[in-house]
Amino acid sequence: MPLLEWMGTMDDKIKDAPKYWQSIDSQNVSGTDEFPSGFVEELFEVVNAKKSRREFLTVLGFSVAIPALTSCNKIPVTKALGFLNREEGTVPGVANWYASTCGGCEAACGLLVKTREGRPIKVEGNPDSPHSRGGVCAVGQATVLSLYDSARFVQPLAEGKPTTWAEIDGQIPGLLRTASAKGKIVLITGRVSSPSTLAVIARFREKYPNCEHVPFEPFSYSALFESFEKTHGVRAIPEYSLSDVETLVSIGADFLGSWYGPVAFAKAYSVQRDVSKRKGAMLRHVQVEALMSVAGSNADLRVPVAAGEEALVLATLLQEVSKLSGRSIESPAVQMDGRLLATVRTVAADLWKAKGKSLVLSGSNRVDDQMAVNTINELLGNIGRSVKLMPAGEVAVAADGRFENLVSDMVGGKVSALLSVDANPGHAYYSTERWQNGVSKVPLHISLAEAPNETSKSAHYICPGNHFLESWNDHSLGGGKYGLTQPTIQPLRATRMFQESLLRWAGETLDYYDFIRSHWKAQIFARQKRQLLFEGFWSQAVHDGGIDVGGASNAKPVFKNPRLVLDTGKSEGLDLILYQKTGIRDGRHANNPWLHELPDPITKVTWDNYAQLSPETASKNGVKTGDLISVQKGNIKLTLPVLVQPGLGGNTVAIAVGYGRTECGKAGLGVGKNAYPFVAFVGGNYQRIQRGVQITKASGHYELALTQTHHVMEGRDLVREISKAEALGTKTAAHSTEKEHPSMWPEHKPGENRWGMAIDLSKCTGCSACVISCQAENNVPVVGREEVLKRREMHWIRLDRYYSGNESNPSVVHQPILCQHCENAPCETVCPVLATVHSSDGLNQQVYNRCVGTRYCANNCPYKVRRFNWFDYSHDDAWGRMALNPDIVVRSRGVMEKCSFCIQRIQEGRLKAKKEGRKVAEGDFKVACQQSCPSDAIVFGDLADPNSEVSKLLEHQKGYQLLEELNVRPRVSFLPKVRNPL
Amino acid sequence: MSHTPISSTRKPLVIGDKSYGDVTQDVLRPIEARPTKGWFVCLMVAATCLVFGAATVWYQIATGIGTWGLNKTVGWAWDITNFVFWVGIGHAGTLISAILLLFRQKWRTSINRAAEAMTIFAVICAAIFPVIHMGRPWLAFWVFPYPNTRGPLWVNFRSPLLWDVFAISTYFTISLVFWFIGLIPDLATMRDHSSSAFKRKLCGVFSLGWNGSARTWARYETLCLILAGLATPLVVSVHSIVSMDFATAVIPGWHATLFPPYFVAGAVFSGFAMVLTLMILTRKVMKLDSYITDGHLQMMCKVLQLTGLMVALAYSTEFFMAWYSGNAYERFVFINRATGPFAWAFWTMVTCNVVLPQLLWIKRLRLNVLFLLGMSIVVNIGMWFERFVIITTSIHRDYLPSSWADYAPTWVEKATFLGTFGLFFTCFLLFLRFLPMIAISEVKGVLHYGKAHGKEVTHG
Repeated sequence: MPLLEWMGTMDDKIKDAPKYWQSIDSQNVSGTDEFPSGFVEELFEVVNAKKSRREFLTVLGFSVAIPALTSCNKIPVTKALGFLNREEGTVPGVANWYASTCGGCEAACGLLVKTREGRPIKVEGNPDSPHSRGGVCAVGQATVLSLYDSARFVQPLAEGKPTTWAEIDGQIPGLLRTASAKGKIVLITGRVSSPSTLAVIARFREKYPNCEHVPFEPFSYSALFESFEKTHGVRAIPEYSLSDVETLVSIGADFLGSWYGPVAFAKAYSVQRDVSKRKGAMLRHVQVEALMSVAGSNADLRVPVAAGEEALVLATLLQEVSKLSGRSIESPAVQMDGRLLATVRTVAADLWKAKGKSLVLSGSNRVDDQMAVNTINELLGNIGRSVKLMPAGEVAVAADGRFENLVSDMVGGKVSALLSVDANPGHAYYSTERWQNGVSKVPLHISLAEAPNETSKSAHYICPGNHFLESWNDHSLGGGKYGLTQPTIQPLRATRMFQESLLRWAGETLDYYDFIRSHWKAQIFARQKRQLLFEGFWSQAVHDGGIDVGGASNAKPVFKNPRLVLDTGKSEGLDLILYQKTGIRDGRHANNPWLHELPDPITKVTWDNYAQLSPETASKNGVKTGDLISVQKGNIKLTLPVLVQPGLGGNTVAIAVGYGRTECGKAGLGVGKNAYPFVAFVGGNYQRIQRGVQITKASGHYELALTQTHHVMEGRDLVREISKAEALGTKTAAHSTEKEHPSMWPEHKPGENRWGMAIDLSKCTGCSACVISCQAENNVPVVGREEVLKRREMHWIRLDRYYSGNESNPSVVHQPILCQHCENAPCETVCPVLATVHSSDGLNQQVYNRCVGTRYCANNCPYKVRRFNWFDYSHDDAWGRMALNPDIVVRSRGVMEKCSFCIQRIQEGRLKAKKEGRKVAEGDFKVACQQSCPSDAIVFGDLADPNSEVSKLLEHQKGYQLLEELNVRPRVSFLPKVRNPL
Repeated sequence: MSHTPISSTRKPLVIGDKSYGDVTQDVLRPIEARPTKGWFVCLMVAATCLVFGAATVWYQIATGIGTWGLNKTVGWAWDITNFVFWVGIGHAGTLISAILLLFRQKWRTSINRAAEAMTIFAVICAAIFPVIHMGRPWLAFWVFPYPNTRGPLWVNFRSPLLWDVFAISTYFTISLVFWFIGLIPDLATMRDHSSSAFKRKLCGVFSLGWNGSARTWARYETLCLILAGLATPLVVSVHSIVSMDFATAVIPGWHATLFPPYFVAGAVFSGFAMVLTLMILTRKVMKLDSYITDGHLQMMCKVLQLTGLMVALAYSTEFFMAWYSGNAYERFVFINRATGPFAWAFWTMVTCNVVLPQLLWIKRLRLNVLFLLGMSIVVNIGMWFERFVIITTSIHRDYLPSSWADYAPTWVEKATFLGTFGLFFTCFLLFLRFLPMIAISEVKGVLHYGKAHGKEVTHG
């Protein structure tokens, strides 16, 4: 029966049903009157009453109004305002890139500065730069953070009181005139390779004729520069070219770490070491050194010697090479024990075999040592080929002797005014006492430093300079090559380029920018013929970050056989060598937390300096890593923790300088100890190698914050090495790629792209530029020494360094490890909340806002690349926060993070390609580590594209995946390490 | 349940000439009398630990997991060790009430109530750790698959941690229900026995109108049997699933198919040790020696001995397989366990779990209650170390030697663990005070077991 019909019958049934009464009262209610009389009327009245409609509306209105009103309380409004008038050339969210030149050290590498909404946030190597060719070191990468250093001077200070530039400019010229009348004005700078700055200084000296310009550098190469005058009769700056070199012998020069221009060296070195491209002509590298340096760790033959014996080896090498050359060279007689002599003879023979295609370098700061090196290079026919002598006219280099005289003058009261720019002798001069004494006798001290330091501390006037990212400048790179630095942001505080200050005080009205232009117009523009108009020439130079006007002189200077006095004595007792660490270098970047937390490429120590001892020396003295020892030379004594360093020369103590800053921002204050007092002024130059130091065990223990505490591979197949023959394919490799393993998991659907990476272990030098590049790109936090001690550093890419072989001279391998982006990622299966997932293009992605922080993924990661936010790592420094990359979220406490293969860059490249209606192609983007690598050891690309560089590399070379037996199928492959032994 | 003819040659389960009335009196005495000074002191100590632990957890949640000693390599240590430790302890209760019920082990009647209570409290203690070990515990609810507005975003059914969520919550629910159902007749006894109107009302509500009729008893026993059936697989599944947190990982030392039975045996081992500790103490304090007799302790010793040997077998199998597999990573992990920086923990584990329990073969020692107390504590220490050794020594030195790291707990981890002991004993002491710690109705059922005048009794 249909429902409605059934309901109808029910109605009938109800109607027909007998009416039961419930009580006597209700019985009286008549048939249809089921309600008490009046009830229905009342009901209708209520329903129909006009009043109730209004009441309804009242209630309705009230109930809408009250929530509306209560929600009207003041909630703080955060405004994100766009530009009212958009600046020309800026699109919010789109980066602008400017070519510039790095001011991190004297090497002046070419940069591309990435700015977002007007803020520089990242520096990258400029591939068009004539000498650095696209690489930037860790220090260069970190300079972007120094720009936002909150410790920098905010404005000019007069006697410690804030003042204005107008007042400064009113007072100082008068004071300088008085000073000039009374005595000498001295301008201390670092090395000046800027022709325009030199012109500014010349202008300044015109105004104040009593002014002397004294460049000061703690690591000055002053002996190197001097030596060419003595051997070749030219004031020259050498330019090293590896493009033809087959044998490279370095005696104590860490040319891949801190010596001269490590980026340029690394670039050229990796090209020469590329066995597949260079075939048999792969460069052979011999390193004789006391320190275990970055360069030494890459050498094919590394000969550890005591620090004081480097000169002995040099003298022997000279003797052997001169014997082979048949030319009589006046060289001191040497005595050397048999085994070492045999080694030196083999090396000499190898050099001779490669004559004209070899290079000998020395890190010594003794003029005679460098003269010996020049002589060897001369005998080998390398001068003019691998050693090009560039006229030093456009560069003011530091000469140690001049600085020493200056300090004497200061102490003698002959200096009436001191202007200090970026050099920091207050820290780096060996005798702080003597420096203080000198400074106290100078009536007027004006500091033009960017940030407070030990030198500016005693200044009467602080006229703060700009960071190089806020400045104009130029750089002479030798051989007609010039680099330009252009500002990428307005000065953040009331600071001024020091050149501009000098111009003002010299009475010039021209600002420095116009000054550079006029200088270039007069001096450089004229030397080229490509551009007819200066504007075009200038725009080109600014756009490219520099220009090459050519005109390198090919004149080969005449060699004068010099008389050499070499210190060929054997070391008795302990030798001391002072060196620069990769991050902190000579100490000028000591307030940069990125560099403090950068693990040393060799020792893997962060945040400290220490006394390195060889295992043998350490056991002889009964000390272990972390024990405190006192190192003493004369009356200089320093207590430092020991670090036992395999491969360190016997009877040697090695200490890094640049630490123990007493006047800088909070990051660097009190980190490590100052080792500069051990420097001695001997033979006209500052010597950083000392003989006859004593060490005594001190009481106490100091834990060093190491990021790697186990240094051997335990026989595991992690870093594969193949011989040159195997690499060239003339011999089958011992390791063959294993066949595919079966998998339990369903395959991922292949996407359009399959991103992958190849890392060439032969090319990676361990320089750690990638670590800082990644940190800058991905907003990786700094955690501090205490947290590193707890093994909680956050770096997304790390360099594993393993030793093998003999403890006294181990072979070293560097292996960059980042997220391997496994196809069968063990992290993905274990996350309970799907916070780590696989993308269609094969990336292993971490979803920060889904992560609850069980850390299961990190436990299950065989490569241990996942990093956990143990605390809320603050990005609360208002200045430091400006260096953050706005494309990357800042991770909160309790979430996991890791390498994303720079997904933001992939996306940027993809969008670019999409807009242009094509597929994303090679070269649309580079990931941060790849971009910064000076050795091009990292290649990133699309594995789905058989023509991509990474695909080709993996096809032709004997690439392997780390722990491939686990069948996690990493997307990162390693190309095995190839050595080129004698 | 079935009728079981009892041989008069067997030893009685309850000693002393106890009548039904005596049982009720004896068990309810601690509940109805004023609490003793000793009880107060114990409660104060336990509650202090609990409060201290709770404050520590608050501090840790407010500050970050960084207050623990974990690092980039060792992502789990004390947290998950404690979790597995407490879950393991929670095993004995269900084993006693479900499996021993199915196997008609009548001696269980004296200890099952307390063991089940222990289970519930232990699982509560265990459940704390997966929550607080999260980086963002306030988002812990994301591990539950519930309809949501985020997509909806689902959970990862491949993750053993998610299996844990199901395993532990199911186990807890069944244990709680089983315990409560078992309490019903006793609650009715309390209702009828109490002089306080409030207590009568309260027990009345929770005894669900128990009237003691034959039909009620029959239904009650059927329900118990069904629950026992349901709980039995859980005894095995919970710790099997917990073990899969490790067994499904790629980390050498974790990745082992042996883990499920190994963990279950270990759990029973530690659970019985804990029951033994608690029973020895409680029967002394509560003067219930007649109900929890030396015979009971002997039975528990047997289980302890058996599971201890199983655990020892598992240890040796692990070592054998590490050698036999030829897997260099696996071999290293086990050599490292025995000789590395955590060798002391490993050898503590071996001593406590393998060497010392062999003393239980000696009858004279087995009859020494003080010795048993010590032994049960030793076993629990050993079992805690077992989990610590498995978790920490496997991950602290895994595949890439560059990332090898050590681990040391901070005071926060220690205080948190102490806090869970505080929670456990606070709950247990309150249980002793407010609920009958021996199943009155069940003990009455076995009162005549092994006694001359009891020819046939019905087990209840």
